[in-house]
Amino acid sequence: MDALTLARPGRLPGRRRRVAALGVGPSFRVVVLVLTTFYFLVPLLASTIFSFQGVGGRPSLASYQAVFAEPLLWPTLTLSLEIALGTIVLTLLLILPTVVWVNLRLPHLRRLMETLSLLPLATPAVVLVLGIFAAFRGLPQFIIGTPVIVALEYVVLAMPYSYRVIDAGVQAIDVHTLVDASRSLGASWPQVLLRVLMPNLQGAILSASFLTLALCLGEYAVASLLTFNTFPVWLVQVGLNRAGEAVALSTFALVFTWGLLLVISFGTARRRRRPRVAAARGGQVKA
Amino acid sequence: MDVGTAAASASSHAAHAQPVPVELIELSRWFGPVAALDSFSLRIEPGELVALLGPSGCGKTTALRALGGLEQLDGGRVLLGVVDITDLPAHRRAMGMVFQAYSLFPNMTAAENVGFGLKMRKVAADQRRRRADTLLELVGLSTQADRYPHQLSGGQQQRVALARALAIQPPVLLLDEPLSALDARVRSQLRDEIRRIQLEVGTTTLFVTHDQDEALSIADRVGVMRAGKLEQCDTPSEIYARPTTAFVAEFVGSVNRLPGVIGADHSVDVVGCRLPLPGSGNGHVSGSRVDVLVRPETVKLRPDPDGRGRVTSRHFLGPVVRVAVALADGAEIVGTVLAAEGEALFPGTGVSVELASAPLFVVEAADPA
Amino acid sequence: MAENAAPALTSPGERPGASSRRWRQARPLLGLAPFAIYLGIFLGVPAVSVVIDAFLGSRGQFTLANIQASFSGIYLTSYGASLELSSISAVIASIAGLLIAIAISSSQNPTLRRLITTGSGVLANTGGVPLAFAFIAAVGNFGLITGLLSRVGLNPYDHGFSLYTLTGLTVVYLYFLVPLMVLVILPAVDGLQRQWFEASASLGAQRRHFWRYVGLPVLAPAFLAALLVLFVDAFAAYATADAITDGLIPLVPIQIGSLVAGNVLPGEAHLGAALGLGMIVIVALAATIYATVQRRTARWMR
Repeated sequence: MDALTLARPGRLPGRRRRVAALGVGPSFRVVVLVLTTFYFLVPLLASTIFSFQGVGGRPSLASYQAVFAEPLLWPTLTLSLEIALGTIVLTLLLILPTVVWVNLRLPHLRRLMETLSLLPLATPAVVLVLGIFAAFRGLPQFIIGTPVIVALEYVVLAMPYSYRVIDAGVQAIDVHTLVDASRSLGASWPQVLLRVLMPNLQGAILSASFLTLALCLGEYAVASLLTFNTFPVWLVQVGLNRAGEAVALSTFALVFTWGLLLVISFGTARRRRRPRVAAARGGQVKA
Repeated sequence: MDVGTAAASASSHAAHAQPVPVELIELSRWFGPVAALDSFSLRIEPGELVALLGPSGCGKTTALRALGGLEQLDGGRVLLGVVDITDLPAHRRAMGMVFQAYSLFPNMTAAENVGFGLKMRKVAADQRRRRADTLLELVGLSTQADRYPHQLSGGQQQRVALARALAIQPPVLLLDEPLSALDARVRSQLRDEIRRIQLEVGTTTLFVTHDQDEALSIADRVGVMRAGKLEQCDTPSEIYARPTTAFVAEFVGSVNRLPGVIGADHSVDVVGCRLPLPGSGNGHVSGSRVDVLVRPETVKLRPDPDGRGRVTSRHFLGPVVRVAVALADGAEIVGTVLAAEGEALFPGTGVSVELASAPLFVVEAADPA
Repeated sequence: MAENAAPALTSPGERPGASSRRWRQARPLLGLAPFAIYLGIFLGVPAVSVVIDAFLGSRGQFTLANIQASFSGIYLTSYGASLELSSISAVIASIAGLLIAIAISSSQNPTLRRLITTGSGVLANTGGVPLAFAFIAAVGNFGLITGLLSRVGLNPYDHGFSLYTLTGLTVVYLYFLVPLMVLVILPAVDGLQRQWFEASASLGAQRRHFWRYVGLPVLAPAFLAALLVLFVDAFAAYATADAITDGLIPLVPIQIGSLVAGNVLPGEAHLGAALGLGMIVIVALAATIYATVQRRTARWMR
């Protein structure tokens, strides 16, 4: 079997991507997308409008002003961000070398690892908390009593997403050639990782970090049941009494996150194109 | 995998009523400011295999897809026989298409793939299976009928694709670079078989390729395209020996571009030889400077210490030797000589340079920038 | 050579050096150690503890009482409600997500695609809390849309709709399930080769024939797998339901949550573990189906 025909679809040499019809007409697209936009935009719009409502139904910034005046806003937000930072660092430290190693030395285990990475999905967050109570009660205070345990568990919760993103990124670059080339030029393993691989994995690292950040800022079950006052936990408490503020903050968080992700996505798309093109051309030359 | 005998018996099943001519009239297709097809016209005679050849982006694939109904046209008409099918959607044109790769349905076996077109025509299952078996025998894959595409090699997949296209007895067969994704050995093997099957079945065929050898070796006529236009459409030998434009002359095969001056009596002086102007070289004013295109195999080189040229490089290619020679005035000429004649031609040797026949093509001198 | 270093590991009859070869072959596996250890500690240990705890009584003895209790009364209702909510929302979301994925995959507008994929990334991964509040603001009791509709005389709450019921929750769940579906199924939809469609057209197939004989069959395994992912995600969802209903609707995760947070009677902790075991079993079942389906997909696509 010749390698070219078993290459991943879409890598045909010299093939320009043209107008693709793929069996659905423009009317299908329009209907589906209009309905989708409607369904997803309406509640968001409604909550945005709601958040700008003041007493007597007149537009006002009262909710937002109240939110930013809340004493617990910054402490809880900071706590969540600190946890997120810890989670991201731990995730990269753990997953990045593992993924590179698997792709490099254990390619036959790639499938298995992919499935393993999905394992955390099998233990819902609530069950995980149950397990933490059951098993880790005896751990020293500086682990179990502080947000450290939250970050440690968030790494596990984020793993299905972070592993897949990083794995996809590593598979997209020709990791064997890069490692062989840099090692033959005298680079040590840390240098290879830091100076050769990571720059080429910027997109994947950024995506994984961002997904982890989103998860940490939004994770509720573990944090609340372990009684840590993170941002989403506090948000729910606010919501119990001051719905308007909670809505304002939620809307703000959603819109802000989406905008940030869009910016990052547009930014990485431009950068990603270069290493990919080189890899594709390299693939052609080899074949 | 001898398809000869199988083809003989199968062709009677595979042949259809009467092969039809195809006419593409002034096709135009624009992608923004770029013309993929620019008033492109071509007629394919019944049962003929025309190869469309050209550089990447010249529009050859667009022309084929327009014939197949897969491209919107901005202008022009498509005639099948005498029927105008320009506005007919792809699924009603009944043309057999073979793509570069990945066109077999992955969820069906080879036999089911081949029978798909018949299924769309509501042919009964047992009849479909029989016809699929016949065609798979024609392409030499009767033992693979119940395999899935991912279990077949690239060459085998393309054979199945060909069988599938022929199953519906199409009036026209469209082949879009069917061999480009295969490796070299498989490519040449399959190329000859495609031609043999096409001759047996007698279908009017359009074959798109960027590989010159493919085009020249199997086509009845070759159409050379550039920038959406048809430069020349002729038999392979005419294309090679009597190009009508400089582009065709330079695109097909290799060519030397040498400075020359038009002389009296329809002649041209180039590298010290006076040669008759080729048929296409009329209308040049005596004394004007021109570029003369000369094929390497028409350059006669003999070792001569007093000769005008000096060998600068030599490449042994087996049956022939390609020799690059630097001339006194700075020009360089490349000649291809038979291995026996080229034995003494090493870098540094003085050689005499002679051009035996009329040049391939003569064109206005390109102004030095 | 290293053969002399570990002669004792070679079993009689084996060629000398086989043990060091085995050792060299096994060495790359060491690279997985940090990953395996981490997962083992922070996932394996809690999970196993839950399973063990489910079978323990208040005095540490082995008992099936917890399991029995977890399938009775309100807990049984919770299982029913959770399964109903998860399956219905998963099915609806999977179909909707598939249609959207097809729409953006077939579109040649890269901006549209990026907009939707990033939006999906946000909605699928952000916790249910902001989502819950957005919905309360929109269609809650005093929501904006509720208000608008009641002014027209069509207050949905008068017609049996309530955000604070299973139906209402389904609507909210769709909000993160549909984007998740889009993200999960998009690679498979992208994998539908344009050539398949064009080839089928050249063979006389109209659009609906293509989808019926090629498109949907090829997508079927991936669709089923995605459906299972959605089901598990919906089943395990906690934040959204809690934020909206504040524990009023009986769902298994909510029950576990209240048992953990309440932590009242020592026996109840084990009951929570029994419920947790139930969740793990259900999820494990879905996961096995997912794995089998994935293997079948791999056969075609490789």
